[in-house]
Amino acid sequence: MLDPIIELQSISKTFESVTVVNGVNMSIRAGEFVTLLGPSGSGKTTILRMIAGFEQPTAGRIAISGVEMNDVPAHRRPVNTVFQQYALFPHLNVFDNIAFGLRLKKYPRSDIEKRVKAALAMVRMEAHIQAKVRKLSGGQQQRVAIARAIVNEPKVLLLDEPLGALDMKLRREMQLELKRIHRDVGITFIYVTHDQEEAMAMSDRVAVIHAGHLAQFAPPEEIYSQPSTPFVAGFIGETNLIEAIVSDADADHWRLSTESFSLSVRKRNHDIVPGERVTLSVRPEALRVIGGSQAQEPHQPIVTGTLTERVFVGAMVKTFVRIGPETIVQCLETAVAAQGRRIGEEVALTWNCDHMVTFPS
Amino acid sequence: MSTAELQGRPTRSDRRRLASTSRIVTLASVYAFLYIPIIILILFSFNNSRLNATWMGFTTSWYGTLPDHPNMLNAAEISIVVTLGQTVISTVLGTMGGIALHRYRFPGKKVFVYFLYIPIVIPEVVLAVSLLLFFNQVSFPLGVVAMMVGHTTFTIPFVVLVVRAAMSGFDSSLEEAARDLGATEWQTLWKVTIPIILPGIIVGALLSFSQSFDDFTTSFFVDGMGNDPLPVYIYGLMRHGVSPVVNALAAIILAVTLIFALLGERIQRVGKLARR
Repeated sequence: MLDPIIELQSISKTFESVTVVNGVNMSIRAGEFVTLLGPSGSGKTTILRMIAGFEQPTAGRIAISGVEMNDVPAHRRPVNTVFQQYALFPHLNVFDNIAFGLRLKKYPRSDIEKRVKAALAMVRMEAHIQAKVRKLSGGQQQRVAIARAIVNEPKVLLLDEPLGALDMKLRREMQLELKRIHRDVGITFIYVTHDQEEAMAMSDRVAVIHAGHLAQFAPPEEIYSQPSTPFVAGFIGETNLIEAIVSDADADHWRLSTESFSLSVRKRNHDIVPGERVTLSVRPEALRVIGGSQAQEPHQPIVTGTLTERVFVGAMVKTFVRIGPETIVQCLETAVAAQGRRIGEEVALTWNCDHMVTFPS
Repeated sequence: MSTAELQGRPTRSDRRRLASTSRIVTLASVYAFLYIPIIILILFSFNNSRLNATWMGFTTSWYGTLPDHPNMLNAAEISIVVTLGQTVISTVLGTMGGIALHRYRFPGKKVFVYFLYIPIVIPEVVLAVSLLLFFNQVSFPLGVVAMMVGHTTFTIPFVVLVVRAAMSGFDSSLEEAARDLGATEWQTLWKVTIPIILPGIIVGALLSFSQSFDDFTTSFFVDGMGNDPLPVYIYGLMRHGVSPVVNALAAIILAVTLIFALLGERIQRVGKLARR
């Protein structure tokens, strides 16, 4: 199972001189749950549609199980799609919708019935086998759409924002259902969403798509803790982006200066030279608010500022601190730790530089 | 009492009543103008007299004598053959055209659509004369087939129009879903697209049927010798005066056309309900 099930080699797609997907390389392993995450218009759906065969890449190569797919039409690819609006056939009932693919492949009748029933059991819709599609709720239609796809035992299941039309509660429920189905059927899922929480919760690996480029492709934890660009850092969860300039460098440290403080950080693989502008990203929960005189560990920066706003978010408190004329940072503290702090108070902030990421601008 | 009423001027409610009365009168006269001749035609088809002038009592004998006119049965047969034949041609071509016009964009599409609707707009006699000239020029024999082709030219736009409208309500991701599940384009067309837009296609076919069944002008020009369909046959009968046989025959044609039109309307309504 080490061979990639899907390989995208520098695929690009141009619609009437607008480049929607630009040189994307991805290699997806069998059985993985991969999410294509990006804002609307980033090209994530176009990538999915190219894998499904609904769009032809302008350049690049798509291979499934090592077989080049570029010239294989959609109906002969070993993938199935769950569409955003379900796209169930309104003139067929639940059984006939799910049996659609099997009948085209000329399965024997008894076999079709067995497989349809198994697929319905998988999505827990056995009771609705003869139901009219129109009479089902959105969540039920969603389940039928999933059953209609997985009954064909595709090598890869493509899901195009399948939960987009559901309300919040049902979304959470279906996320868990999809994870269970993924575990049970064991096939590769490629899931498109613009909801970063959904992507983090469900995926083995997340591919962040930004303006047609693959910004980062890594497990959720790595995306969160080691974002590759300021865009990724800002898109996945909340972060503080601080502009800085490299004022000095020695063998293994950079000296960075911002408008209000300077600090020294361990060198990473980036090739940054003194004089260059950089962007720092620090997560709100990595910031610690301390009394001005408390001792700090070496290499931990300390910044002072004015507390400008506090917002309760349940067990946590968001504290906003102005650390420079242009810079307000956001800290996430437990309600207990934040107790007694007042707006207008002078506070100091510190953080562990291992939890900070430096991007060349 | 308001001052208006005291002074004997029309009040607002008076005026409103007047307006609604005049509206009813207008409506009634319009409907009378449209339907009284038809009602009289049907009534006199049951009139026990050779003249269409005075009511002499009820009879169905005019309907009974219809089969005694051998040419009439022949005319009915020609009408049915021509109408069914052209309905098949125009429905198939019109459906293909309607789907294509919905799906593809091509240069000159707008102009193409305008030209498609021209046969509906231009005087039919012009169409008929041009068809006659055309058939003569290419030495195409006049007769049943010529009528089928002739009728198709002005019934196709109706089918295209209705099918195109049906396609605009059709979710094209259903076609992608079918292809995704392994259907070829041909299978997708037959198993998904056509079943879903079928109400539209049937409505188009019925419209085409009723347009063709009661057509006189085109048939008159291109039917050749001894191939008169019913409307042309009736015209022939009229030369010997309007006998109640004509009334009876016209009533039957009216009934057939009406049934198909109502059927079409009904299917369209069911189709709309089903799409909700």
